[in-house]
Amino acid sequence: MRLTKISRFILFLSSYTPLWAIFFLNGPGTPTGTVCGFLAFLGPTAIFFLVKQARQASPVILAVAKVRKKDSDTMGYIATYVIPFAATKLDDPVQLASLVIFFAALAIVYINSGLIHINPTLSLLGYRIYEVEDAEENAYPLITRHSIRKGDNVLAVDLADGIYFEKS
Amino acid sequence: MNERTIAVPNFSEATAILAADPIANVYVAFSNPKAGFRCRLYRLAMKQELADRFVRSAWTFLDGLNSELAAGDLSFQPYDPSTEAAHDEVEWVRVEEIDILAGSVEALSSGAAIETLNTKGELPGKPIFSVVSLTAIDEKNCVNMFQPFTMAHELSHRGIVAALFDGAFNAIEEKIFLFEDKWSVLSIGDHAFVIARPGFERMFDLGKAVLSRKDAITKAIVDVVPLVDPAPFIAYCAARQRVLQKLEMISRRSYFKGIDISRIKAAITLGNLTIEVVEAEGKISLVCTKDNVKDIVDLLNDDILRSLGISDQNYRVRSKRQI
Repeated sequence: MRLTKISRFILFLSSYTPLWAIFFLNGPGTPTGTVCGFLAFLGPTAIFFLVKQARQASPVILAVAKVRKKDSDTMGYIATYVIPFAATKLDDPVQLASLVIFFAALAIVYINSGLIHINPTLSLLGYRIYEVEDAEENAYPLITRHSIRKGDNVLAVDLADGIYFEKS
Repeated sequence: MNERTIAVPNFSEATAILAADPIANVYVAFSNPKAGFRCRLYRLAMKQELADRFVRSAWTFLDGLNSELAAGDLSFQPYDPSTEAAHDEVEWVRVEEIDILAGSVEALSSGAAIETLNTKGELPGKPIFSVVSLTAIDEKNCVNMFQPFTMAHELSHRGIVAALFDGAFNAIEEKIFLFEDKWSVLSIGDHAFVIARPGFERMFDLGKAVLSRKDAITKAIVDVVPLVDPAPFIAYCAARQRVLQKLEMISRRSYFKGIDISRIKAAITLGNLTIEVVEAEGKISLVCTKDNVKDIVDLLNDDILRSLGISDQNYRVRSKRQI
């Protein structure tokens, strides 16, 4: 499978699902709140379809020679890019415009930098992030619901840019 | 290709991998010297359904070969470009002996590290071959099945591709690749089996490779075989890929290393060949002209043979195997 830019953008939006949920709860009934409510719903739905698509794809075998947990990257992402915006006043046009500009810049970086595995919604849905290395020291980010150990052979699907998703 | 003394390989390992419910991945090799690569593999993103079809197709193919083998209709021979392979022969070669093959097999052993082909826009180069790689999750080795892949296999490259949709034809803009269910080469572990020699030689650029070694190959011959004037011999051979392949094999044969001119002279007489032999200052040499170069090459390759007494004829052979 190969994710299109649109799919990556939707995954970017999904990485802000907790923030959309906070905004929705802060302004229910308002137009902004409604949009945020839709986005909060879109996140897990996008991941559901991503998983479904990955399960239909033909995998490769990742022979794990080394493994490192990378869940801390998600924590770092939340602390740096999600929490600071939780206090944004959406009824303030200046703050809202600043947020939109920042989001647009971040979306471009996120889509082009192969960061789609850094996604708090994936963690909320029970997925873990590992960095695995094969015997030739090629390293791959791996999204999985299982514990990965050295010596495992994992059937995984390349989502994009060498980011693998375990096909269980 | 050196003379080999190791045990003859067979398809049993491939059969074991296919029986172990393998997963299939398909790769296409592209060449783009301008971009700095002669052969680079790209993986095709595929649905599981299609991958399963490749597994079934590989099974059918291997099953056919195994059946022929069991019926005694197929035999294994080491790859020898100096002789034509018979229809009932499968030649084999050690993977490490062919540069592009060795590089590809090594890359395929870590398939996850191979970039997925971006099918939007232009292809990364000229397609050379495709590989169906079958790996069982608990097996160390994989079976790689190669087939030549050209622009003709990318149907969408050949003009307008149309299909019937709801009763009316419409153009298909997506890339469409054609994969045949016959393969030219199978590699398993350290060995590759040549099912179709032209495809094998084309895919792995053996013609170009031998042409690049033409000076060394012709030198190895003229250093051993005394020629009055080696220039016509070198000129004829250096321009012909098949002849160079033959000469390279000749230079590696054990009999060639110890050959002396008296044996060559005797063979010329026995074979009634029009190769003049001259003696000057106690040194015997062959006179090579553009008309007899082929005879000299055939003679050195032991391609001029004599009947065992059935017909008492001499024969020029294109294909022979040692008994």
